[in-house]
Amino acid sequence: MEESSKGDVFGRRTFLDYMIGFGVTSWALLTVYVTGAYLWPSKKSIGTNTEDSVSIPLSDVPEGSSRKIRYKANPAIVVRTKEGVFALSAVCPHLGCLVNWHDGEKLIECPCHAAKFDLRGNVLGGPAPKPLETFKAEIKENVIKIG
Amino acid sequence: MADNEHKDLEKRTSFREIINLISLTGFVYGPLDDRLSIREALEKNLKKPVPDHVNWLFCFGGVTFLLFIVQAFTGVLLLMYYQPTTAEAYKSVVHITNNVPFGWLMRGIHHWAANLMSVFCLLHMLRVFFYGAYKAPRDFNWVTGVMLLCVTLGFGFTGYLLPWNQISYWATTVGTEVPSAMPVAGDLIKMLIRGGSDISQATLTRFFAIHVLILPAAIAVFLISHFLMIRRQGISEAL
Repeated sequence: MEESSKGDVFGRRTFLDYMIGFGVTSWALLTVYVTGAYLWPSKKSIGTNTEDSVSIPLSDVPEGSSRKIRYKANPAIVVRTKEGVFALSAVCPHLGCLVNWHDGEKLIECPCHAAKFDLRGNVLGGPAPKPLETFKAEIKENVIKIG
Repeated sequence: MADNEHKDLEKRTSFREIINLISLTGFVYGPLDDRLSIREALEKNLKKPVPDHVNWLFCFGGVTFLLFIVQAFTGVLLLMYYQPTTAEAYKSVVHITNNVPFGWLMRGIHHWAANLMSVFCLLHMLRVFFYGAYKAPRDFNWVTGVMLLCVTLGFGFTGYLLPWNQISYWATTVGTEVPSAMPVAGDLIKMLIRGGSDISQATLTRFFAIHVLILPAAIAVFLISHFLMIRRQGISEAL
């Protein structure tokens, strides 16, 4: 290989080196950006409902039963009892399992380590460090509106 | 770093710059290089001289390989959103194209690089044929090259079904009907490819598995042998 430049002269080879370097670097950065944007989970890319309020038909949740839905992209549990409807986060604050409604005991229990909650999210027992997050839920005609 | 060992390589060149840039990635490279002489190996490979008669026509094979790398990259990215079921395949492809950021781009690149890969495969073969480079001692490399062509066409055939739209469905119907024209075993082969008597979920699952698992493994084997042989035997002589 020839010397690229003599002294301080900014030679043709140095110029080409810079141009190639600039081109390759921009291409690499662009690829990283495009790939990152493609892979990053967004509302659009995961295609789930992230709206502020979700409605489900009343008939989907008979009295004394529960149903898991997605609310603001996270799992939530909707429970219907004689007292009305309740919506809570379904993610146990202990280790993140999804909680279930037990109609016999009238409480919410986590299947992993038996953390227990009431319908207001308060911890009744077990290892849960904090209450379940609750959401506003109401019956409007034939739908349950959450949020 | 043991600079005196590489004294003859220390001239300022673009490759030198690139290798220095890689060295900047930190302490792992230094100790690693002390033991394995990675810099030297890299420089030797990047600076390996090619014979004088080599011209641009000799690039087609490399271009084909580059397109394969592009296919592997965009293919893995498409896999992150594609769902190989008859109910979801088309929907997920539409989702990739319309909703996922740059999904249209990834799908477009995968589509066009696939077409170009077949084209450059054939151009490469034409060059090898008309230069007589397929003759002994490189005849076994021609054989692996033909296998690579078959694998490439296999990629194209199986990949065509995956969007699960009208054209892919009917193209696969016609394509899998072809072997049934063979006497005796024809229908059996057709059934084996389709995983049943018609194009169904079984076919889609089969083609998906072939496209993303079996053919990539096959192409890796043939690519490695193709490259090792050309390295061992060198580029064919001038006409």
